[in-house]
Amino acid sequence: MIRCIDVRKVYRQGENEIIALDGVSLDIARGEFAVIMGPSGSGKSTLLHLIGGLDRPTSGELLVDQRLVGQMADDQVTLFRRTKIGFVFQFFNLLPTLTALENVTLPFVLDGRSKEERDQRAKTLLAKVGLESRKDHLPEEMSGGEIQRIAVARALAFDPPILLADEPTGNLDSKTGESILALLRQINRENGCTIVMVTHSREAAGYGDRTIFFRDGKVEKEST
Amino acid sequence: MLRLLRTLSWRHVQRHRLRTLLTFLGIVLGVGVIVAIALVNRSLTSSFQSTIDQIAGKAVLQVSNGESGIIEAAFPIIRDTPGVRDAAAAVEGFLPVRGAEKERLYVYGVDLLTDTAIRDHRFVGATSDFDQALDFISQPDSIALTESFSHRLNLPLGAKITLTTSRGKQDYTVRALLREEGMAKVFGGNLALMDLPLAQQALGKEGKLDIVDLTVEEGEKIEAVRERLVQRLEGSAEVERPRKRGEQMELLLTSFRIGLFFVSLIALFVGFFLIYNTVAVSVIQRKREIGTLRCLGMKRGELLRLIVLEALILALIGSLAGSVFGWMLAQLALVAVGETVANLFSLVDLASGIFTLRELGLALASGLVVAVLAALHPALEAIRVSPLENARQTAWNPSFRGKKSWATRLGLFCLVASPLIVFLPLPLSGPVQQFSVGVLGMLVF
Repeated sequence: MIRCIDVRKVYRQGENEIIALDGVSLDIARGEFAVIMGPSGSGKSTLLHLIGGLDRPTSGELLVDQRLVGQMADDQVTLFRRTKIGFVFQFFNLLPTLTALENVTLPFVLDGRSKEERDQRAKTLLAKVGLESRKDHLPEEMSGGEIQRIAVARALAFDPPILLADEPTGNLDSKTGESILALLRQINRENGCTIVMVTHSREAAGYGDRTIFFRDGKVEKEST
Repeated sequence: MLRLLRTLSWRHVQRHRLRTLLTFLGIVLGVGVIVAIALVNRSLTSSFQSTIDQIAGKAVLQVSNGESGIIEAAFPIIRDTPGVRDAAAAVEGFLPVRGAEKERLYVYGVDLLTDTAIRDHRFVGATSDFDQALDFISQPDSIALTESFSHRLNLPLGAKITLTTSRGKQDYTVRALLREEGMAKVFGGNLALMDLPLAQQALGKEGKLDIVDLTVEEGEKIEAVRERLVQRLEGSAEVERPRKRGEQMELLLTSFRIGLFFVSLIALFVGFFLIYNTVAVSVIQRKREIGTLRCLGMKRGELLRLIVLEALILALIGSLAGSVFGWMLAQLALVAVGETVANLFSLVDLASGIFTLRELGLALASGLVVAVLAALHPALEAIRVSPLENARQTAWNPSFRGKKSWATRLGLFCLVASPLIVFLPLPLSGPVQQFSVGVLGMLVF
């Protein structure tokens, strides 16, 4: 599902070059729940951004669902993100002015779907994450765990083949974090969705099928 | 796009009501001032033209020679030019009224017996205008006032009026009252009719004529008669159509109108910066939201259209409200402009500003164009926002926070300096003071 071949990412800061990824090669199979771990600055989040088409590799090949995301035009990669990739972030990133239901319907609004279709689908997704009763609440009226569940529901809008989660439990207490991880695991099993999750937590890594350790922009080791 | 407007933009407006209101008021103010000035300018032009038409009466040609006037001896040459049917000589000028400081009379001196061929002078209560005219000119201190002026200053028939003339104070007797028709309507009724020699003395124009109004014989071409007159006068006077003369008088107002135009530009400038500032701040505040939308699959083009459309909708509503505000402002401004023009040039009876489709078009065009221009730069900045903004772990902090740029310092200085100029007794004349406050006020933005 995801294939990285000698992927490099170099950032420029004035005269200096910062090597975020230094020739990463790895494969993640369809339906796999892969966890990426490593110290801060090791390049794990950068890889997640490249897979999600949020950024482009400096060199190397990155195939996601058989497409070279690094070489796609901006509009193409935007549409690819909309339908093929689901994102879950540490800071949730819900729009504060929209209710839970409206946040979940947002990808459908961007895709021009009818109100009936988007409301029906959004309600189904909210039911899946157990928050149907909170559909009319604003993010500020909900707990961190609930907000992250809403973010997961939004990420599943188009039933994407890939779900990318960047520290999804980093801003939650351990109990709530566990429930989110359990939800991701459930989605992985029920939907057959490939999940790539970046985390610092060893407990969180336990929910994955495989753990890839990063250090200094390179894959240091892997464990299953 | 409408779905996005309803879902995203409307919610944003609801959450930031005060800022939206400020932008809205900025557009209303900018457009309002532009509309008001356009209305005042149009009213000024049409009033001047109407004044010229009413004074010109039936005349199709006018002979004049600027401020220096025509030598009276040239009158027979003009009158006897082939093709000329009627010729009426006149002198004109403004004279202050003693005992009524703010009143100035437009004194029009004519030969009443010949002038009726060009203009109708209707006298109140007269059985025959010709008899009344004979009676009028037979007495050497006769003056005719309009009914409105007579009522306003309580000067009935037989009353004395004192004018400050070129020979000092002179008393005149009100021997006729003019009906408010035709020429008597000009300058808001501040018109006095005198016999030609008496007016020449009062205005210090003995042996001179300001204007000779002409009609031409039936079947004669006006242009042919004009050319004959030009030849006979050998450059000692100009021969023009009355409308042409109106245009020349309008030129006198050019500097005044340029001033008004700059005022409207300042208003537009302020409106532009209010919109620019609001959209720019909105983009900065929504940077993470924009990042989220880009992350969820919003294309750059969709984002650009959304931001510009938001500004356009605000500008459309603001322009419509600005049109109404501009019309109201024009009604107030017409009074002030009428007084200013009267002080600087001459009295004009400004027609009330009638709002037409032209002003609506101007309001919409200025509001919408300014909104698009102001929103474009922040919108282009917005589409450069990386979807990675969504993934940043902290809220975005503007780089200038905590620092004060030179623009901020200048704005703060102007904010403090403006009231000081207004309230401190500085050695500045009125217009300089007002202009300084205007410029400083503009720089605040």
